[in-house]
Amino acid sequence: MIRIEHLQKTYEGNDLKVLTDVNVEIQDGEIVSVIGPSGTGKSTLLRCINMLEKPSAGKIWIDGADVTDPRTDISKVRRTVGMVFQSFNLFEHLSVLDNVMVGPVKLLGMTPEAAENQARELLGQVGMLSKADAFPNQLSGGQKQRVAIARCLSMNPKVILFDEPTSALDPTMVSEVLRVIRDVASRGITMIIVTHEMQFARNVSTRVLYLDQGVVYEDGTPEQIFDNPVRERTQIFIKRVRTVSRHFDSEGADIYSLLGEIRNFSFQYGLDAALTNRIENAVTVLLETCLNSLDDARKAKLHACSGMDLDIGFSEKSGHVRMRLSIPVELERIFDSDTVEGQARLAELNSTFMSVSQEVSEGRMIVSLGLNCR
Amino acid sequence: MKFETLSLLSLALGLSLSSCRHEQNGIRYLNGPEDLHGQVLCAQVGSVSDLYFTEAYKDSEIKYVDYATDIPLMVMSGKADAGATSSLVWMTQQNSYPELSHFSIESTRTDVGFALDKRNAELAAQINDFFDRFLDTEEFNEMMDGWCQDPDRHPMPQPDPEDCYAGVITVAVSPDQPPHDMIRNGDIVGIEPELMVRFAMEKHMRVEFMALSFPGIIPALVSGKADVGCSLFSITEERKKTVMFTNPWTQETIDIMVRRERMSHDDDSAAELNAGEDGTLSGLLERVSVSFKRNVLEEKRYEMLLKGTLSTIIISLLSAFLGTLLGVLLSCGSMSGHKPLARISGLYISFMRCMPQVVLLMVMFYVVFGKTDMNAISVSVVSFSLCFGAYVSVIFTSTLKSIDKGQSEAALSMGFTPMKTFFQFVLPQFMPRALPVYRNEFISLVKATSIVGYIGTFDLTRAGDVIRSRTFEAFFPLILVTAVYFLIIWLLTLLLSYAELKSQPVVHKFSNRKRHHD
Repeated sequence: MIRIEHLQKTYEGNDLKVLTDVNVEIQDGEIVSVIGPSGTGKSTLLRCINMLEKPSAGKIWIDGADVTDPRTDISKVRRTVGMVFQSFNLFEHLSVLDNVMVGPVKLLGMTPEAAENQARELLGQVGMLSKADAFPNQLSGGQKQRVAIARCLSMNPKVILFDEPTSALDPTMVSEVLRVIRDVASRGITMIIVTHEMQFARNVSTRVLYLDQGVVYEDGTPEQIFDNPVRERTQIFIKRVRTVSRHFDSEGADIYSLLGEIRNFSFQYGLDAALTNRIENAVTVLLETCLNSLDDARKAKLHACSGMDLDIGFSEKSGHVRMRLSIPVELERIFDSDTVEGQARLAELNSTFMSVSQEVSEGRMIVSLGLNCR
Repeated sequence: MKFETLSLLSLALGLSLSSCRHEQNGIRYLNGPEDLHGQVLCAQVGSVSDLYFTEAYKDSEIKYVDYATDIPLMVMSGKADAGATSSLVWMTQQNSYPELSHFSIESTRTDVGFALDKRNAELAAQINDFFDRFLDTEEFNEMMDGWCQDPDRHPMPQPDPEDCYAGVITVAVSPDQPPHDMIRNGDIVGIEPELMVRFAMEKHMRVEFMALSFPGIIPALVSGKADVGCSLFSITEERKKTVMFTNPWTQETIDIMVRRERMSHDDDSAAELNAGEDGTLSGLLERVSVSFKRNVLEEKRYEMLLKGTLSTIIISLLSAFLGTLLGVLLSCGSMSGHKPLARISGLYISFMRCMPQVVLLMVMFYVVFGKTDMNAISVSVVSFSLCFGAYVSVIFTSTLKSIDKGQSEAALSMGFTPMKTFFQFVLPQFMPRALPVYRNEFISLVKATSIVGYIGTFDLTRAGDVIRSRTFEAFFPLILVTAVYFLIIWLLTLLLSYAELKSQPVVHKFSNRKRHHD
């Protein structure tokens, strides 16, 4: 059982309070997914549990041992708490087999024979037996992570902490690692998984913690959190419009880098190719009409008025793509329907987007553009 | 186009070559002091001839060498037109250089005496008293004749150790001016050492000799490392400002040596000389074996070489060991979160990296440890450790930083203690990365130790210099010394290479089973 009370973590130097007050109790055998926006301290929470980060305040008990107490033999506690890292962290100077043997031999006093048998069995379970004699630098990311999981299991831990285990992987390798984690989940080991894979979190976990603003903002079963979140920020996050944002200045738009970003974004959220093409096309039209066609005087004005912002959002719930263009009011006349130029622009946009609306607020003109995709 | 460039190049080459050889076609003869104007002259640094040349031949280029023995070589090889040396030194050297001829410059006659620090006026007075009684005797003349006629065998007086109850006089000698100051069978002997021993015997004292290079003697006196300095010191007004001198025990003039063919009356003998050269391979082998006998076997000079080699190895190994420890401390310091500590380490490292090692060595010997009894080998070890530590700490720090932190975290999270994590995971990856660079630094260290002769440590380079000063052979001792350095470095780095090999990752580190790996 893991009990966390009033956990606080502040990074020295930049006064950044990552965790303000985390309180949670995790029972043996629970599979807990920790989700939340970037920068809310999900990884920090995990790293505090096995004391890779020293908490600024608060207490953490693992099976009755207070790990925040300097008198506790933390190395001994860590033997029962495995960790799988985002960046794999295999021992580069050891072969795959040795990576999975070193812990049991050096820490658990297992004989090399027994450790090797166990290592081969574990490597077999994660599908890496054929690479037993390889060195880590000869493996792909997904293979490395599977070895790292086997290494973690070699210590026969009671708890495994997964710190974004698929974030550093190429999309094609995510599934092989998730499948292995799913297998591990069926063994009754307590697992805490920090992840951005919502579908996976929903399927594999028995409990979901939504971390936001430095606290456990909402805590519940996957159904509660994903289908009926109670609190506001959770709702926004779950139904979230996932966005790509760009700021444009007078220099013109780097369309290619933006298109690359959109492609990644589509891949991440599983948007199909046709939709991706439409978004790309729409963005190209938008930028051509609104930014690259500006004359020099307007470009100077744009520069003086803190530029133009473009947010592209995709709502997982509705499947809609929304774009939001924020331009300084000084430039609103680029869409002025009285001029030939403005009319041409509006016509262009109307033919591309499903809905186009304009409103002015706080000195900016906001153009909202909708793209129906389903 | 290409042809033009080539011909231009060869023209330039020809010009530079011909300018090296002064007036090759119409030889300009050097028969007297007045002919030296506009010539390339060579003198020992800080010697009387150096002062004389600088004063009298402002229109000439002067080349400086550290050892008096190098001067004839400069002249013979044509790097200088004329070289100056003390008539006392040249007296014994001239037979070894049949290619060279000489003339004296009488106007430069100066007194020669022993140098002392000004605080030692009483000792100087006692030596003067001894000179007054001894220099006019028949015994003195016999001694002089003995040394001049047979410097290789003339005996040194052997004081009875029981009789030396009144203390020790430390005498700094630059033993490269036979027969006045030289090393024979590993001992410092010669006319000046014998004078000091005779004086000491009268006073029931023991003499301890200290072999330094000529420029090192005055600092040794001033810092109190030595009581008396003898190295054919000419007594000049300028030197009297820093040290005091005894009364003169002899006089010398400056002798100018020139190649025989540059003297108008010596043309014929030069031609004769050239006839004798044997250019065949057997002739070469014979010359090598003669050189080997002279430079290595005679007077058991190999003992000197062995002793020098041993010092070089000891200084290198000890400095490497202590320097590595220091380097570890320094990189711990600069990588620790402790800001003042990191700053001090950083400052130390940049300071040491900018300091020439010779300067550090001299400062250590004459200033920092000037008033202590620490011997030259220890001071050398300390100085080299200090630099080596700074150099290798940079290697250590950058290598450690290159090993990614994630693996340490993985080890910690498995339950390895920080200590075990370091030895089990960081160090094995550190070694193969750091060792090749470390080995390079170590090789540089071994070679850098060749400067310890400056403070009188008898190392390999110094052994070669001393042998050169006795045999007057230019190249054989140098090549010999180079060969020994090569051997030392080769053997020592073999050890490091072995360590490097051992530190390479192996496939089955923990498994006992033997199996083939493809």
